[in-house]
Amino acid sequence: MSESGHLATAATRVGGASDPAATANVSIDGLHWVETPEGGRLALHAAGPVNRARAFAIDFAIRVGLFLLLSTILESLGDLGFGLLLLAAFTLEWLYPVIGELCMHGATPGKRLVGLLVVNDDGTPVSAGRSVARNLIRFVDFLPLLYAFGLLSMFYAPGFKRLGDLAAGTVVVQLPVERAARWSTLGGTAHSPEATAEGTAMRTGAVTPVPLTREEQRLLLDFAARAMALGEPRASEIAATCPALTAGAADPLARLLHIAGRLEGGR
Amino acid sequence: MSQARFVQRHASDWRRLRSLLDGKADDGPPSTDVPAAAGAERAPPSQRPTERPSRRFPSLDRSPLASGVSLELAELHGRLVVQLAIARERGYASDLVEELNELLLRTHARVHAVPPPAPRNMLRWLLEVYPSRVRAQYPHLIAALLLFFAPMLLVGVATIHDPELVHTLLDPIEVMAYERMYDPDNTRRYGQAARDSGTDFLAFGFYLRNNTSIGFQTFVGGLLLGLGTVFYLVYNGLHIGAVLGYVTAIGHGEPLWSFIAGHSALELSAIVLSGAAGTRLGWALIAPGRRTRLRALHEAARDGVQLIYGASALFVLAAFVEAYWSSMVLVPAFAKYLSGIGLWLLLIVYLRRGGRSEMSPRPQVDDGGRRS
Repeated sequence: MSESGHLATAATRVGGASDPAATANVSIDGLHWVETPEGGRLALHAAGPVNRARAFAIDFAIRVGLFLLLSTILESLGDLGFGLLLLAAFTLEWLYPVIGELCMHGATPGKRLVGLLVVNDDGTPVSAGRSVARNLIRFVDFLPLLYAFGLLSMFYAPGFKRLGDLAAGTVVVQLPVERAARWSTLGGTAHSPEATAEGTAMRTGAVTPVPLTREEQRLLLDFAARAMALGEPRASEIAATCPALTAGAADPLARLLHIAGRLEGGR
Repeated sequence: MSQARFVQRHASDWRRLRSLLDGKADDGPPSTDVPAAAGAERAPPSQRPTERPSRRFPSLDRSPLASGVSLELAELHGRLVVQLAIARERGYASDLVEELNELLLRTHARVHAVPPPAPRNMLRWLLEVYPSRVRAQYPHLIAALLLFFAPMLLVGVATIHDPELVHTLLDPIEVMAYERMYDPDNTRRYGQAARDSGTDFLAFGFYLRNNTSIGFQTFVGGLLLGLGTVFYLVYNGLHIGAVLGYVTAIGHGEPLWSFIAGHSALELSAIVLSGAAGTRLGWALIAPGRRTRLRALHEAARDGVQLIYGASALFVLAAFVEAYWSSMVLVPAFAKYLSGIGLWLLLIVYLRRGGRSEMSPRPQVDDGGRRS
């Protein structure tokens, strides 16, 4: 698999939603697989400590900001205001994440900005009891200093779960970034004239010069999808690493793209 | 089958599913014409005027399935499961698989979402279900009672005999503050060093925040193999016992005990409930029985949170009573004692008899999963 090995390192995003049983090596993505009752398999991208820390920082800033805002507003109300401020402080300390998760579709504003979502282990939206549990246990996660226990747990437990997630059976999921529609824009590539020439040369042959496993086919399709984003020099460089596929072609990149197009089968 | 043919065949399903999920179920019959480019399921943004601008957050609303679309939605959901499996198996492009995966996440959430409990059910839950949940944890309740009251009684009695003992637990400033709080010559309020009119609400806020925080910490401290819970219960027991003993010993007994009487039923039971939830957590880690520790922890957290719901309500009520009733100087002590005893009786009756009819079976105590 040396050709697709090159292809893999250059073009494949780590963490593709592939069947983990097919990859022989250790998977370094943070995928949390859910087996649904219908027999389906759902891949959830568990959010790592960095993103969660960013979301926490934003939430912390929001909480501090709200508290300062409230304290200036309530200052004028004397003791009544101070009492309200104490209640607000309690709510912001303990209940802010719960309110965010239950009333704002599973994510506090900080998490929403980073694109995170809290779900139950089975992929359903986080339920009330679990949200309360994971956010109360946040207190232990914070010990002894600055979420040390929580971070340790995230490193050791699968799915980047802190202690609260482990106890409550939830997982924080990263929602995929909204991707530009690459398929329709790649319908006419810059290499079309050469592709036509290539097509003439290959029309009577098999789709690929050498048989490819489906993993390799998928890599080729992914490469074709990303070729424009990589930039032509780099894409050509990568294409040159697959002599078995591009043997004898004047433009290796065009040949690879053509093969990918044939694999897709829409042309 | 090639990827393009696969997309062509199923794109209408996916479009229909998206419109159902986005709540535009009245879209009319799904269009069957598919653009020539592969991956037509994903039209460029300019051709999707009806979709919301940001599709990063799926509409994971928790409403029950809307009637009329449930069958169709379920059917599309089932088909999507198969289509995603096929796409993965055949090694179609990662982008396509990722899209279908995300679509399945949204559909799965919608199909399996549990609607939030109706408000009328909550009252029934509070009156009937909650007491039986509490009774189910009676070993932990007893443990929490012992951990909390035993130190309190021991230190309290010891301090009455030797008031100087209080200085081993409290610093002199605190001791002086407590002396002042329960001074019989207080004009308006007990329990606070310097209070004047209009600060009842402030006291309420203070008590609520202080006590509920302690309750929550007592609960989750159980995660540290129960040590956190034990620490909190014992420490608070010692502290309270020392204060009770000392203030009684120096002669300020009546203000103190009448102050405590009013809300003791509520607050002490809230602490014990939190402690029971905490020991439940700790015990799940120490002796999970026939389950894995993780599974035992799940169940303990679930049971513990149930207890905490009631404890939180009791903390709120206790803060209210403590701020508005217990501290009033003008109310005679007799009335406070009476109300205190009344609350205790009410609480005991509620917990012992609530939700239990002649026919209901004894609640099953957590037994390490030996029974089903």
